[in-house]
Amino acid sequence: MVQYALGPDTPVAALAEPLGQGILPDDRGYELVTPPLKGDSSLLIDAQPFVDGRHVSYNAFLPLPGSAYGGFQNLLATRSPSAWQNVQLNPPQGDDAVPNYRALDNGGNTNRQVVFTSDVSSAFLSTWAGVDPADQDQSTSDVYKRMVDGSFQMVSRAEEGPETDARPRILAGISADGAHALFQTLENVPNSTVDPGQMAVHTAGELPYERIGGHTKLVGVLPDGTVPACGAVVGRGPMTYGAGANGATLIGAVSEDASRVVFTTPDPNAYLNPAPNASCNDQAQIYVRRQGITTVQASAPAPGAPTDVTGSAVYLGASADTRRVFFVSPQQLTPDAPFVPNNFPPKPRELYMYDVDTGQLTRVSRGASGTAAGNLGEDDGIVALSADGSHVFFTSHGELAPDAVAGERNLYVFANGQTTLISGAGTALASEIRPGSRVLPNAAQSTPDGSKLLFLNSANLTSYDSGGHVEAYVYDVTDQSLTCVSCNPTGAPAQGDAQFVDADYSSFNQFLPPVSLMSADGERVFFESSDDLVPQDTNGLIDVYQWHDGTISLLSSGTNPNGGGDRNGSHVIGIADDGNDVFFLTADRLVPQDRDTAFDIYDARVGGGFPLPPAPVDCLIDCQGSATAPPPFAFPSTSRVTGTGNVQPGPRASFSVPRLSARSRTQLAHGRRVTLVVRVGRGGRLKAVATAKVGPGRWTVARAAKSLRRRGTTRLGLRLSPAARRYLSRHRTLTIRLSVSFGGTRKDQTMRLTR
Amino acid sequence: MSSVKRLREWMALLLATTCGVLTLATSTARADFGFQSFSVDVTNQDASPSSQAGAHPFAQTMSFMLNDDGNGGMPATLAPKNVAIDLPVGLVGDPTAATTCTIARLQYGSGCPTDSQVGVAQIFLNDGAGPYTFGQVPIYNMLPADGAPAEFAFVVLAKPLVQPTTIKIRSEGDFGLTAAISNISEFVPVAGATVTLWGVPADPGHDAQRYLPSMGGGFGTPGDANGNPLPNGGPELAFLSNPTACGSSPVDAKITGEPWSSPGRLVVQTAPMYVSGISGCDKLGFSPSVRVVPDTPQADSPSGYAIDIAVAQTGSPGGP
Repeated sequence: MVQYALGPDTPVAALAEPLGQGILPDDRGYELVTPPLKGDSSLLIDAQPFVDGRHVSYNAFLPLPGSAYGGFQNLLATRSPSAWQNVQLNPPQGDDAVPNYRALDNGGNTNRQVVFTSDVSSAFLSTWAGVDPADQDQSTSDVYKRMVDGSFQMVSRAEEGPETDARPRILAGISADGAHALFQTLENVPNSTVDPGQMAVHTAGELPYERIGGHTKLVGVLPDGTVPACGAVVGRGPMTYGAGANGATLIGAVSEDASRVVFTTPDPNAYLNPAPNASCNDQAQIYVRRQGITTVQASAPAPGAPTDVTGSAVYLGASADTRRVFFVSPQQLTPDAPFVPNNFPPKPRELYMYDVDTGQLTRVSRGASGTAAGNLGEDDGIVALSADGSHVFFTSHGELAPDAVAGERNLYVFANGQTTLISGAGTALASEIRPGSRVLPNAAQSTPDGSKLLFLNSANLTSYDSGGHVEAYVYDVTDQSLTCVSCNPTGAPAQGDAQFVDADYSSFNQFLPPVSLMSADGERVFFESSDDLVPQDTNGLIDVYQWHDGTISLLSSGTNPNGGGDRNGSHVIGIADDGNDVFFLTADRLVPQDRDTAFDIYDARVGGGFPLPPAPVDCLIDCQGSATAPPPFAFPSTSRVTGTGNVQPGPRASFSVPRLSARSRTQLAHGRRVTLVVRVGRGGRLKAVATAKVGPGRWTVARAAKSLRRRGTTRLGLRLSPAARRYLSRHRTLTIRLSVSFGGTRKDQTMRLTR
Repeated sequence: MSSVKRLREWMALLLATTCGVLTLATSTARADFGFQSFSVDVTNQDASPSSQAGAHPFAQTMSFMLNDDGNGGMPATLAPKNVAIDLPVGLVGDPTAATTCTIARLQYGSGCPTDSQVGVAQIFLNDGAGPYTFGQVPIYNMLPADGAPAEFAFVVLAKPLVQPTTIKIRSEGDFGLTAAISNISEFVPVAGATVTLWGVPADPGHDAQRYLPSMGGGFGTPGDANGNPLPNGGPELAFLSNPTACGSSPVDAKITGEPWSSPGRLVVQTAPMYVSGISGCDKLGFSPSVRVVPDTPQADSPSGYAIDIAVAQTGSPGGP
């Protein structure tokens, strides 16, 4: 019977060494990103890595150990040379704070949004904790900047006076350097752009403001300098307060220097906020605020287009510099757009691009003929966009290119003025389409230059028969070729679907770059699949895979070592832009530091992995602890034994170990196996252990053992552990102590390994 | 649908029912963080106190309610961060008496196996209008994290919001057991809890409170698919054992609380757990044995020794 008090060893015992060593492709090693000791208090959401592979932003429902309060937390993990460091970004809970359960408000998402400056030195977030003296509402959300030193400064403040209004002010964007901070609110916030009298016309919906240089400016200003009565939202609105996940987007809406800000007016929710208001159900239009001084309407009819056709424009996104602004509209905004009467139900839409610098409006959905009807339905829109906006991947029900099927969804790429059909991919496109949203769990992704598109599809686009299951494909714009990257390499029929980021584990943070699972050069693709695509994958659960040059490799455990079953598979959440870091969530324990069965974030990093925890210096061989002193016997034991008399002394436990040659040391240093030739004087157990002192502790870096029946010469194979090999590749030199034990005697030799 | 999204919807419901109460609560005088009540009852199946030394009780019920602000409200200053219950010396448990589950499986999987259930819990919430509960949830025996001897977990409100409870040994004190609920989420406003652990989890007497795996994620009902009592299906093994040191003085349990608003400020309260002490030590058997076997009978030769020390502990609910 096992009692609690007798249980120093637990079912969740530490791993001896990381899993996956020597199995992962590209010399990858596992690194635990999230805190190793969580007391099983773990509910991680919104995990999203940065493209630099050195930072991961995530949120936690449950307070992790060391948390400053028990509410919803925003965290940032940063890679150091020895471990991932995790920092809580929220201010501590004060005596005057309202219960933090309310921090996750009834729109659900305000506090899930965090944005960082480009150097990741500062973070901007919304919080209910009033830690700034100017924040006197104490019960609603305000936007704070977390400074480099960990202090907090409220940025959602008025031009003058404290914040006392009970209505929340929420984050809407920043410039890359953090000098500009945008926020939105239903309030009429005193600002330096328009006087209070002009502000009074605003009665419904939110308005966007900007905090810059100690001043608060109104962003939502119409071209004539007036304030929109029914409010405005940055982009198509942050995902909160009714906007929800569907449709709300900030993608590209604020340029890197915040000199261009796209906004939509009226606020799409103004007709409900603060109360039902039919007059605020006007046709939404897209505007761009430039330099905080002037405003232009992006969705205005171009010269020659009719001006009496109505319909709401819907912002879809913009190029990274916010120069090219994309939106759909049922209005005939260019002369080449087909005329559709106002009362035509349902009113089909066209996809437009507005160039902020030139003022030129282009109809993207004009098709190869230049005059086709775009016919974008409610489920159509942009599925991916190159960084400069030169390549637009979109769907439409229009016949825009040869072989397209009118009335069915077709997938096109628009580049260099040309429209090309990605044949057969439209109707069975499994990538979820929410026009413009950047946080799609299953969105298609393009390389930054737009040369390749990664997407999911349940049709057979190649010779592989997926049996209706979803597979991941790469479309090469240059040669118009399609490659299935998730199809079973054995040709065996698919049993499950491939997917990108599982909806349960996708990030809701719309301020971070869209998740891409294709390296920037398009050479490597990452996905998850419930199919066991390689022999090492035996768990029948969702696992993370890499496709590279036609080869599929397993990146997660594939073995479900914790026996969790169910959906406790592994779920990819993002990659570094070079594909060298692949981040995924799993409840599997993959490194010795992980001592729980809760979900953690791991990085399968090229050349990755951290040194193992130091082993006790004296515990080189069997780790049985030190022997106790022999008891003082009163008389010889043999006097009480009945037997055949004293036995003859056996052969001595002698052995000899030659010193490793320089060549062997070099081989060992380069990760190759070397042979240790040992001569022993009798049978027994022979053990060799190599240890190295790294940092404060001594680590086992190689070991071998053999049982021998008789005297003679034997060979022990030794090879450095993957962690030691990685250490050598980084530091070039490592001093090891090789201890060979036999018959209770140990012989040591110390040597220096260099590369 | 996303699990988190489901949780948010429950949260929205929670907030919708309490909207407007917060302002009232925050404008009134606040009491200090502390416990309104605390009790630990160890009972037989007939609800009588279980005081027999070494016995395996039918249930052990720990219950506490936190102070409110005097007006029924529960402001953030009264929110608990850590709650730990020190159990009397000698009370022991055997986590191998039930199968184990994992946190990830309880949060995102199809639920924990029925034979990993070791009790039930009721969590009381308070958004400003007094405590209330959404009902009972099962407590599961978990694979313990971070080297802990044992761990239990239950769903708060709805999965994936799971609260682990770690069993710790007072290794620098009297080596008794402490049940620690650490880093309690403020996502829901916890006002108190009643946690019942079963002495013999597979005892048919608990069948009416046993849950199917799919029902353990919050808002579920006990019983099989038809609502009938649900057997454990496993062997009846003792999970809890009373102390074996007898005396007529009450044996206390101690609760320690720490608020989020003032980390380090500990509030302590005690309650008698065995009101009339522990009795019946004369009914306990103690027949230890030791067996030493040398690796070789060869005279005057080096030898190892296999030493077995045995203390009869059968794990049977009828035995010690």
